[in-house]
Amino acid sequence: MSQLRVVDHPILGPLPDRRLVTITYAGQPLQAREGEPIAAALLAAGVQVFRKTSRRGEPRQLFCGIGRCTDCVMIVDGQPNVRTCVTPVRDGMRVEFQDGRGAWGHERGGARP
Amino acid sequence: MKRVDVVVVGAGPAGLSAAAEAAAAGADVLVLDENAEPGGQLFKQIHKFFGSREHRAGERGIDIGRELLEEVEKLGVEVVLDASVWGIYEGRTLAVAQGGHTWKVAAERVVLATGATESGLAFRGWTLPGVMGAGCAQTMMNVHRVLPGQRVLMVGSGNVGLIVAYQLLQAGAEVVGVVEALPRVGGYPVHAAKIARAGVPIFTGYSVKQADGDGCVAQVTIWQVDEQWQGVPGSEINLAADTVALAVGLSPMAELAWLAGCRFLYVPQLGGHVPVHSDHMETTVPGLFVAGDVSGVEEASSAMEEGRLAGLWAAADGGRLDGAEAARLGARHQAALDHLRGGPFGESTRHGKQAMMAQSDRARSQLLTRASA
Repeated sequence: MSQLRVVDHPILGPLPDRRLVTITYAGQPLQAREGEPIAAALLAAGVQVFRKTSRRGEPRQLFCGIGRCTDCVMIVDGQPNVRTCVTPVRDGMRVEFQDGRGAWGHERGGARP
Repeated sequence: MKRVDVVVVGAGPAGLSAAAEAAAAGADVLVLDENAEPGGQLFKQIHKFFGSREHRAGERGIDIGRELLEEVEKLGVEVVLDASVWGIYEGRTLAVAQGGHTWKVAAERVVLATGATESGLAFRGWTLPGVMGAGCAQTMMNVHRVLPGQRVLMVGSGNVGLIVAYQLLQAGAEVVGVVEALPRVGGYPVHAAKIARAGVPIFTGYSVKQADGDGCVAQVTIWQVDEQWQGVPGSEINLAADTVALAVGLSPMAELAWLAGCRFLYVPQLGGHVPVHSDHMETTVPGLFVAGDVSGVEEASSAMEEGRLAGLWAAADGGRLDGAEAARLGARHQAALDHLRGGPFGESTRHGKQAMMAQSDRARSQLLTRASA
């Protein structure tokens, strides 16, 4: 288990059992807890950069964590600009790094989502 | 188009309290929230609340959230989630986006309880991965059970900064320090004492100079600030950290009130521009009420009392409740609010609300003058 996962907590108790789902990030399978946002799963897996900005190519990850700021957007199942902090994981979900404003799956030769 | 007596936007402590009160008065109430779960930010508040017992002191936010949800459920309030309100027409018709579709709802009365957003702080490197709002760190560790990082620097020593710093320790992170630009700690001494006892240094009179790292934060440089808030060269301290949590204030999330044409007033003590409202929580747009952080940033305890008032007066305004009865029921919540804003820590909020209420009285008398002319 990731060292960032809060397994034991003095107030909240042990990490509740939750079904695990498998998503892919950068083509690699990654285990996530069912229902958690994509960002939480990536954070637990140690992913530090979610995207790069369009003009300066600066790295971005999380900022508000509640769907307000759009810092954490990525390409999810071929759709760019998905707010990963408020989008729950689903079994088989494909999550990709977003470069700039991103491109739709079909624009990059993939299937239309 | 769907029609209801009262629509509440936001299912946090203020919104749920407003919904409960309006529903108890017999109104047909619909609550809309853009999140997948109700409760607003209550479910990341794992600490015990302050105040007297009647304000639920000693209870944790997570438990209060569950109680509020049970209350509105019993009263038959409809709560629709994943529903973003993106438009407001003629004050009381709302446009809602839900699952890629949009629909409208017409309400007799509307209560906006949309909360607040965290403020940022600009320093070199503040956009690097690892720099985030303190609330973001809190959401990740307390709701999603993932630490935002292993070595965290907290910026800001108000109650949010102090409480989240302590919660980071509880979740197993190391807190390398708390930075406060003012010469003294901003929050309650009891919270500061808890983290000081845990060995966390509090750097008062310091601010962040810069955050550095290749792709994400690895080191943070703090420095002393002078009376003009300028950094003092030579006073730098380098701290190894992978996370910088910003607890430097909140701003009301008032887009819908702006759209509706509410009059605003800039009140720094309340977090910025706030919709002018009366002690009934009614804005300058008749039938449009506000409650909680959107009406001026305070704490969850006061948000719940404001919500109760807004719900009561929305119901009374719609004829569901006799005005005298609303005043009788509201007196308890007003007294609770006055109590929460009492004392030295409530002083700036109290003054802010007073300045704003004066504007509301003026707007109201102008309205009445025009009506009688």
